[in-house]
Amino acid sequence: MRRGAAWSSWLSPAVVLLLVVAFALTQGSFYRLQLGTLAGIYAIAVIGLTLLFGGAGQISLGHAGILGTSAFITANLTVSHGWTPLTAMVPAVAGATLMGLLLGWSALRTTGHYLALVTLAFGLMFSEFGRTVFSAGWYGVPPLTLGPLDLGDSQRMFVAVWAVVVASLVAVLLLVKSRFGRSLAALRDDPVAAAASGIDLARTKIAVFAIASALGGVSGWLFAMYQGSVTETSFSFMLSFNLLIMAVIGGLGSPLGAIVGSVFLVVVPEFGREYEDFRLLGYGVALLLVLGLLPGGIASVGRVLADLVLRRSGSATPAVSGK
Amino acid sequence: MTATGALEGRGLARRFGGVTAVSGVDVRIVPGRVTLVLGPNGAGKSTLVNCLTGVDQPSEGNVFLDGKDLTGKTSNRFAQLGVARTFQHARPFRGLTLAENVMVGAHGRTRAGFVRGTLRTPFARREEAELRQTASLLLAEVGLEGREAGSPNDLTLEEERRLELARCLAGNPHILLLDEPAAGLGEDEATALATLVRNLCVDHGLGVLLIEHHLELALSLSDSVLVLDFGKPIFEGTPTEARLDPAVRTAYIGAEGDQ
Repeated sequence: MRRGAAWSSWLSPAVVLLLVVAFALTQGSFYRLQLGTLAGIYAIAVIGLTLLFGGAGQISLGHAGILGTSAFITANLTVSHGWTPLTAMVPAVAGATLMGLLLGWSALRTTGHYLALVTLAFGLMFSEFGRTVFSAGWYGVPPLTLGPLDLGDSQRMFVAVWAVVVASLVAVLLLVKSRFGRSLAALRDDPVAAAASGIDLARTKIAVFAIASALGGVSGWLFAMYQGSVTETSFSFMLSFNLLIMAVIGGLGSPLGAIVGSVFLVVVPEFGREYEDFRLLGYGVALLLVLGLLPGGIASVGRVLADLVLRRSGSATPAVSGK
Repeated sequence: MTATGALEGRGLARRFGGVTAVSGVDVRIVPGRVTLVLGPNGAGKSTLVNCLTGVDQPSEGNVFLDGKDLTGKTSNRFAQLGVARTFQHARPFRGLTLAENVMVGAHGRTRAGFVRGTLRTPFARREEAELRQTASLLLAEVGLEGREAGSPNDLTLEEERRLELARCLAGNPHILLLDEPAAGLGEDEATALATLVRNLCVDHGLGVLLIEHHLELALSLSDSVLVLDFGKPIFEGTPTEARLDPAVRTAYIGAEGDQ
């Protein structure tokens, strides 16, 4: 049985990896690769959010501020101080993680709606900060190079980003099934009983915010290089909101759902480009449909369909066999 | 790291606004002995347990473990030092399996952090395997044999209570506070539970504080009795003395005897 559990935690990353390689090999179009890369960049942040929301029952409505912190640091160091993108990663991710520690610290004093408001305020503060202090933005962020490997090429960048997505997915799946993952679930299900079982709630909350923010930091760092420029408008509240929708639509608490939700929310609106005005309305309707019909998110669609078929074939057996 | 001494409350009081739930209570839970706390509903028994385990902070008085002052420490600290407790209304972790619930109980005495857990280092694997085995043994001990992969949502209230007991024991505590463990149990089940508590106490040297309404059972199980009424101690002594004490009889036992 334990072997089976180990199997299933490797299965979804393997499937994602296969799809990604197939996509990279068959879809030569720059436009599609760019979209796929963007979806992957968001997916990394959303995987962190599913750990925060679904794994530990915490919330962050200001995650754009985390991605933004990392992207600002990356852009500033590479454009204004001549750092290479790779070395800029260290302070960028560290900065985002530090912001996460601060948010986690505020989660010690607030829970539920109040925590949502605190993180929302953080996100708004960040975008105001960007608007006033860094209104000029940064242009000409160099593409990522890993030694001899130049990721300026869109196909290589796509593969590199998705390699990080798969690595994050594997890490989070393993983490959830570890002692630390259990302590997150205990915190989510019953904080009082969790503490009485020896779990340090403060440390656990701060740690999960830090981990989610580190993933957000990686996402923001990749975003800076993907975009080639960083401006204050890139990390508005709308991005926090989108990341939240990605996590919910994919299936809250499911790291695989995070990937599904990110791809869904990046790709689907592209089909409706000419109906730009109706995009928000479309979001709203899609969100309501998912919440109403698939509370487990798009990632649960297979299970829901299987249940439906089983139930139908169970109750309607005579009709079917009568044909 | 784990202490072995007594858990002691001195001069404990807890007020909620103008209401005094507990006042002037001295209690000592000694390894190898069962201390019974009696009292009618609202006498402050659960509040006392909360104050003794860091779940709630006393308004007055101090809590000592092995002579060390732990007043003001949070409940995870108490758990890490070997003080475990159950809740009057069981509080299982509903998103985890039964085995995982028990494994969480060992959190304070296990070490693998998120880095080692995610990387599955040999240390983390070993700890995890040992923990799974312990969880199976404990589930069997409380009568939930072979249900490791089950969900707490499929348990009866009484089974939830037994799961919680297994979770407590996973932490290898030396002090155990049981808040009405036999509530809702039939006569046979309550006797089985009593045997288990007695075994833990005698064989494993645990100090137990017991809140229980199965009066005869609880008295036969305990070494000393503390009776609370409106938060104040009205009697302290042996079970035999408690049976004879007129104040206790009128406040508590008498009412029970009338039924």
